[in-house]
Amino acid sequence: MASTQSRASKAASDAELIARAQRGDEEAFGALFEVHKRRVYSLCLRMTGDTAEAEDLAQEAFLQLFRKIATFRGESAFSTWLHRLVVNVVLMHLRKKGLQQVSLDEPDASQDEPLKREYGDDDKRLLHSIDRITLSRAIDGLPPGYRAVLVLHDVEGYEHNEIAQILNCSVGNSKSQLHKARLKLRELLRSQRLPASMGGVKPPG
Amino acid sequence: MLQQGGNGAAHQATASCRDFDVQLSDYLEGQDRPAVTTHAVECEFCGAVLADLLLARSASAGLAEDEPPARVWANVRATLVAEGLIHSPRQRGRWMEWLLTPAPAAALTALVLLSVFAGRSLIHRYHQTAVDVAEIVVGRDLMQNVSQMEVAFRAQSARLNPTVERAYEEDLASLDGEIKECQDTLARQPDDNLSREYLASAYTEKARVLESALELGDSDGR
Repeated sequence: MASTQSRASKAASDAELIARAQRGDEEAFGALFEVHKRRVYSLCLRMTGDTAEAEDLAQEAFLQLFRKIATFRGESAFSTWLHRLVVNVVLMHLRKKGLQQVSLDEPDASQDEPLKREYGDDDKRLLHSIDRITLSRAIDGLPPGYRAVLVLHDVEGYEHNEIAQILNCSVGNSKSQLHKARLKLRELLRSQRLPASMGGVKPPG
Repeated sequence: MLQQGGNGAAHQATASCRDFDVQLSDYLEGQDRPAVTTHAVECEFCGAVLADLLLARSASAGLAEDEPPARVWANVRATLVAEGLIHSPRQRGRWMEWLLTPAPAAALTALVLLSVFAGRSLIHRYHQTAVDVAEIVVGRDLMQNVSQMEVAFRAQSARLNPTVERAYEEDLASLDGEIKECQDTLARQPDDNLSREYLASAYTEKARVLESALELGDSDGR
């Protein structure tokens, strides 16, 4: 109930700010930025795994948003509209960089390496808890295609049919890539946890 | 199929393990696959895989959001102004007007030049504390001005819309964090030019944010 009221209140607040921004009100632009900046920047950061790129992309996404805001008619939730715009900005950027892995319907040999499921006698259960930095670092270490689908589904909460539309692939492909991404993530988390002598990755610094 | 352990021990995958592999993805997608949970209880290897994947998925869903640096908004705003999307740029506030009047502007310029050309030797000579170093790099006038603006902002922040007030508070907290980080670095490495540059930039940005908040508070209070 409280959550419903909160969402309704947020939508009303967004609607007021959008109306003011459509009239060129600077304070409204600033307030919209403040309300949505964390979600936008975090999405850019998770999708790229690079703070400098994330800054540039968050900036580009907000600029596109403010340039197009006059065309927003409220058919969909503003946050959904914004989120989709941010994803498109990030994917466009990744494609420009030549990262074909982002297109999940194009097989990429680099993503089909065998997924290890190994452990030692003292290491049967890999994870008992995961701290935020370790998890973020492991997500950053995923190949871009895996990272995109895992971030969209497991972090951002998109459904497979939505991911299929966004990434221009089939629902089945989205599911299979997500599964591979999760196994790869486990492998990366494991390598961060193990000492270098056992095949782990030495933390930077 | 043998699955090699980290210490050389091998896990012999059974037919049930292979069924587990095939059905695991569907199970994680929420489909009813009783064979997965049954096998996970019986097989230590597969049980560990399932437990880890569930934990990683749960942790991913709970990842906290990150705060973008203040310069992202500064760049966005500057571009919007340049493109004319902000129709009525705010008049300069009295604080910025004061900063741009001849005497403070000249003093500020002199201090900046001093920090660029002589700051390093001054810092070495006087072995300043972090705050003293900041005064040399940023300029005492600007620091005092920011301090006064902050007091004024605290006194009238209740006039602001709570969402907007929170946004300003977060911005200021972020800038204070940057300032402290630069001061700490400069206390250890007084000749770190990058920290000096960031410190001056953070103070300028803080002045801009406070100026904006004070103007908004003034207009909302009228």
